[in-house]
Amino acid sequence: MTLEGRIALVTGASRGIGRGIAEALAAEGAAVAVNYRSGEAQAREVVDAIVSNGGRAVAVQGDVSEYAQAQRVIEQTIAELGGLHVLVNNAGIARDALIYNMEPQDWLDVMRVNFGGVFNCTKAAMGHFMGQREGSIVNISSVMGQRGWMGESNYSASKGAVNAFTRCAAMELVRFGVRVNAVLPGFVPTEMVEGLTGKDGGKGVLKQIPMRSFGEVEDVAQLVVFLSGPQAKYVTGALLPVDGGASAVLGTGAPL
Amino acid sequence: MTTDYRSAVQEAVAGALGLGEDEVTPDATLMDDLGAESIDLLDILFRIERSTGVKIAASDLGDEMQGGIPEDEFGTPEGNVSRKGLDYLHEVVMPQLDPDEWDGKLQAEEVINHFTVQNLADMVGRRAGQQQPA
Repeated sequence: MTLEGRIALVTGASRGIGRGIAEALAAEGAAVAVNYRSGEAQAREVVDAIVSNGGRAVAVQGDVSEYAQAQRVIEQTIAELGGLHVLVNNAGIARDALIYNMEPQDWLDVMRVNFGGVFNCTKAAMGHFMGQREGSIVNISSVMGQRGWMGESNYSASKGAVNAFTRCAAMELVRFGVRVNAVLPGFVPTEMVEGLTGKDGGKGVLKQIPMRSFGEVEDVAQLVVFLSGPQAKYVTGALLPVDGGASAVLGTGAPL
Repeated sequence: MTTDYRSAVQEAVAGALGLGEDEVTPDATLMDDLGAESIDLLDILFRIERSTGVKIAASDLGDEMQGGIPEDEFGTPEGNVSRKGLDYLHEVVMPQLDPDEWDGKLQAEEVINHFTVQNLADMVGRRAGQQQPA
């Protein structure tokens, strides 16, 4: 197990990709803090699942879009699990709409959670990482941060911000033995994106993905495990897509 | 944890700036002579905390140099360090600064440029004396 003795915090880990990441980190031996905002029952399920597999986990409530709460989440994780080595900034929301129809509050909410959560938790955890000269931060971004998609201007902009922040944070923290990377999932059917991948069995999206299949939560989680651990010791400032080739292709990649 | 603050500071500065420890002489100034920038200072302070257990936040450095003297007494309206400020710096923080020589000539924002390896080691020692034992 590559993460034996390490302690990880995964934000937004009560469901979706976050849950998969929490379970995958625990399966590699990490003790995991399962952060949630409102899904307490679901977060407890994740903790129970980890514990019943012989792992160690606690649920930590907190809305990471608020700096004071992000600070409390970090402090509580350190107090309850005895330290912190890996921070996975995963908490995210979507409020899809055409810009013409989008309420101003819709971009602000998305930005506050998706980018604000990354900023807040990074800032709240960095002193601890710098002091111990060890830490790995993995930001769950999206290929949408690199490319455009109708109706996702706010989400795409928030993930673009996460990508830019990832590079800068990597620069500022590299001196302190702390690595910062981002994982950019493509189309992974979870509750958050069911409007996109659920329609027509997802056919309209699938034929645009070179691999002709959606990603699985586990595909994302395994890359996070790699970036969190010692095998990625020379990797920092990287933005790594997990998307079945979706962002590699130009247009459809062939004449229609 | 070491209490040899001079060696701890020299080691931290050398490590953070990629210098040999022989280059980090006690009277070398961190910014001007050794070329430290703000991220280097942060790195140096974290390294010192790690080896000595003495915590100095980069944001505390200014306060530490000013020694609790209010802003309007430490500086003059022209932005220079006052005589009172110079006397304090000479007595506590930077003994090498001669108050007579610098009277009316030291810009407040340039104080940090005179801060030496030895000055930092002394500051760490003073802080250690103030901190509760862990």
